[in-house]
Amino acid sequence: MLATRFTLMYPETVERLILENPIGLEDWKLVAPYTSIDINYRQELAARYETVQKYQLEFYYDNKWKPGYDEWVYLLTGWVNHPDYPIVAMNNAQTSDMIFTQPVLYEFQNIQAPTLLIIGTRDRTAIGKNNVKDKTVRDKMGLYQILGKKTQKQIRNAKLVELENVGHLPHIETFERFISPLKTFLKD
Amino acid sequence: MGENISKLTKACILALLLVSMLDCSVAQQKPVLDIMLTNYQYPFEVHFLDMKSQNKDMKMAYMDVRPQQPNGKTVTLLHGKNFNGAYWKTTIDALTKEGYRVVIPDQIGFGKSSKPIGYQFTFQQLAQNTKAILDALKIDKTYLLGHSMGGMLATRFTLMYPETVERLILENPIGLEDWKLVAPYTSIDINYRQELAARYETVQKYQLEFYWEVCWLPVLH
Repeated sequence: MLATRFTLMYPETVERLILENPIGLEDWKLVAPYTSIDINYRQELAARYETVQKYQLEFYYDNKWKPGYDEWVYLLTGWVNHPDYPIVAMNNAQTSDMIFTQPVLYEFQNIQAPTLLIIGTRDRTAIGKNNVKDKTVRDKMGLYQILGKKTQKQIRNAKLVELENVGHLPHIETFERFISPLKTFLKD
Repeated sequence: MGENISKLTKACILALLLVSMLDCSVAQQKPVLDIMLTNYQYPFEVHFLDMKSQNKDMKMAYMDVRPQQPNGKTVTLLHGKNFNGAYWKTTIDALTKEGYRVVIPDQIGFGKSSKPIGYQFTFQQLAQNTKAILDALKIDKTYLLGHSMGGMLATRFTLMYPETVERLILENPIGLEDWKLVAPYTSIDINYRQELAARYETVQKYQLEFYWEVCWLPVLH
């Protein structure tokens, strides 16, 4: 989302844009109720290694944990017992709010730079999904095998590389399948 | 016809000159306002809702004006970016006379409400704050009128709380077009420096040009 906004703001700076399982390919506020910063803050305050690992296991890694993934959970939760952690918790709540309230997808058609979309199609990341009561709506959120193709059509000059049976983190989960199309795109 | 317009223009310019001369003295004579406007009296009694938002203690000001002969309906008035509840006085008078209860919040960051440092302003947040006032007053249905930025807020409020808004009224709402598609982004820091430099005269000049086009009337102060 940030790379998209950056490219829109500084088109003369960005030679090529690469999006790896970007979020915000759909506008979640159209379907999910708004969650206040205060509620997000309380949830962030309660974050622990185990709860974050559980989320990543389910949403990122298809319930298959590898020891290499531990480091990224540690970096996200290593400070939860530090006395200054509430400051981080508030920052986290505010950046989540930014994601929810500041969509960039409506401007994909204004991107000029040649773009590569690398999409692990097993990814199911969807902000606010747990708060959506209607199951049929909920089940349509975060379907990256659809969102990748849709976004490719919206961006003028976009190439799509879909990685089947890969989740939210292609460069962690399956590095070779990520780096190879990236290198090709950069040299192209 | 052309002559009439020309006469009108001349009269306007003359009036403008006179008023702008008066205005300089007006600006200098009036007392410095504190940032909660405790030394500025609103047209109706002001109440405060204590709330905790983004982990900060806040006071949100509002007027709740009751009609003598209630018709059972409530109108909520949402002010614009460069305003607060006070400028709704004539609207409040007219609506209460018709029997409407009128609720007029000052949004956080505006008027007599708290001016938090580092608050994340979103229309969603302001809509929730506005809903908190209606909830505190046990108002579950309202006609909602938003002016200017208040129109954007009223729109967001209506999207978030469709069961609360019986009718939506937009008075010169802003955001009918998406300016970021065409205008470069101006950083908060640059806006901040411009806000720091704001003076009575510069604000009057802006309002004269963008709001009133030609003629300044003393009543609009």
